[in-house]
Amino acid sequence: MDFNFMINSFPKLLSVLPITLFISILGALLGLVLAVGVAIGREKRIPVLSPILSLLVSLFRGIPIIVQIYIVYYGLPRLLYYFVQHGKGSGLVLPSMLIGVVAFALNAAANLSESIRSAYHSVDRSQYDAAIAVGLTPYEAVKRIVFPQLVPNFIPNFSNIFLDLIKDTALVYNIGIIEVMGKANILASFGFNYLEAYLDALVIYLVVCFIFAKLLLILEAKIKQRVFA
Amino acid sequence: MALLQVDNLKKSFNNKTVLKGVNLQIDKGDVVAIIGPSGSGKTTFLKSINLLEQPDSGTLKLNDDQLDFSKVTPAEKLKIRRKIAMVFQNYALFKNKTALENITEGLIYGRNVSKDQATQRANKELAAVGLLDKQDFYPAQLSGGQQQRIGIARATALDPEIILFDEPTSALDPELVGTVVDDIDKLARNGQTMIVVTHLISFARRVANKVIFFEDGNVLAFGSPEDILDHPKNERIKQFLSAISKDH
Ligand SMILES: Nc1ncnc2c1ncn2[C@@H]1O[C@H](COP(=O)(O)OP(=O)(O)OP(=O)(O)O)[C@@H](O)[C@H]1O
Ligand SMILES: [Mg+2]
Repeated sequence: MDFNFMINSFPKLLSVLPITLFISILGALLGLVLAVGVAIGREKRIPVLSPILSLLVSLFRGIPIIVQIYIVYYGLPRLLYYFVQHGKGSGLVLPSMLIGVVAFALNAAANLSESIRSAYHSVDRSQYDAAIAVGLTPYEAVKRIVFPQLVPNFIPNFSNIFLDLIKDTALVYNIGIIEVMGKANILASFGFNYLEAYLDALVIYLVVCFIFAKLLLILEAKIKQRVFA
Repeated sequence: MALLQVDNLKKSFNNKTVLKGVNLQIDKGDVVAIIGPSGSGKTTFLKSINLLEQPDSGTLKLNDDQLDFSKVTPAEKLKIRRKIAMVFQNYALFKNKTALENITEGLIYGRNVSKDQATQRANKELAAVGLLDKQDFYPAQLSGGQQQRIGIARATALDPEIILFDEPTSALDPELVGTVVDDIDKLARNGQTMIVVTHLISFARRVANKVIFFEDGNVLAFGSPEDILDHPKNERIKQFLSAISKDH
């Protein structure tokens, strides 16, 4: 074990941590926005649209994220090229970062939409009925009664999915993004210090995940307190 | 003139017809008990009246308001709902609101009453059901009987033309049934118009002035408690009453 290497590499790995965080946080936020739309679309049982959304969700949930990343990486430029007919050839090179974020957002959207639906179903329907019965509009009933109770139910699942996203960013060096794992590979390759580099990475992932898990737990407790007491 | 008139109400769920053309006419001050076997459509009928379920066809008249179920607009729905209140089998209190807020919610957001006035009114209703000291409690901190009495206070605070009750006592422990029945009885004596789905025959006898027997999506019989409960002519009703009395 080369402890010197470990100590010297650590700050270098830390320096690319923002990339890891950028991809996972942006992916989660964009995914969340998409997921809300998907969850509403599925719950409203709109003909044609709802079954399509349901199919897409099972697809994204059933395919390893690395395969999704590759498919977005190779597929998205072609798709765009197809739509932008006037492109003359290799004019369309999308930045890896954009592709990474898109892949993560789509994957997160699929998982988050399921969590939103399950959080929604955990608020019993009769409370919505009661809100309607006392004269609230459907929008007010959701906003004032259902939504505030749905959120604390949703956070634990969100937390799991978000931590998975952070860990899965270790895959995006495959499309040329130098985040923590990518950096570890590069640093290790000069002197075959793989174990040392990966141990550094392990510590970073562990601490980051621990911090986010705690933060989300605190958020959940705070919201619960506001909603139910 | 009848207060509420429902004509030829039909409703089906995925090709299964649950209400097969129900008619009902009630006057101001009536207390109507609806009895009948499980699955006969009692809850669906109640929910159709204030459009928590959307019927397929039929018409409804409440005072001067008239609507056709097959082409009802969101504005019409809101208008009807704001004249009718409902009490649920499982209480259905808003779990993110205190006892007091459960009552003010509908006043403030459903009736445009000011917050101060709504709070005053809610306190009055809480006092009427003897739960003023519980105003800041959340539903999870209250017993089933207390929750249901707040459910009733939430309904009466709205000064509705009609209150719909769906088996208001059937989720309660036996020793708590009495207090809730007393509350409903008190409302009846104050002239509140009510439709109550119930399995408690004694309650129907004591509180109702009209009884409806529901079966298989139809009104099988409609009459006074004496006619329906004491001298039933129909075999099905006799069977039902004797089956029910064995349970109690
Ligand atoms: N949302 C729904 N979707 C599909 N079927 C439904 C729905 N609600 C009720 N039904 C069906 O409609 C029929 C009537 O149900 P309803 O709840 O009105 O009966 P009920 O007389 O209130 O019974 P109970 O005494 O058990 O409460 C039942 O067969 C039930 O399965
Ligand atoms: Mg029922």
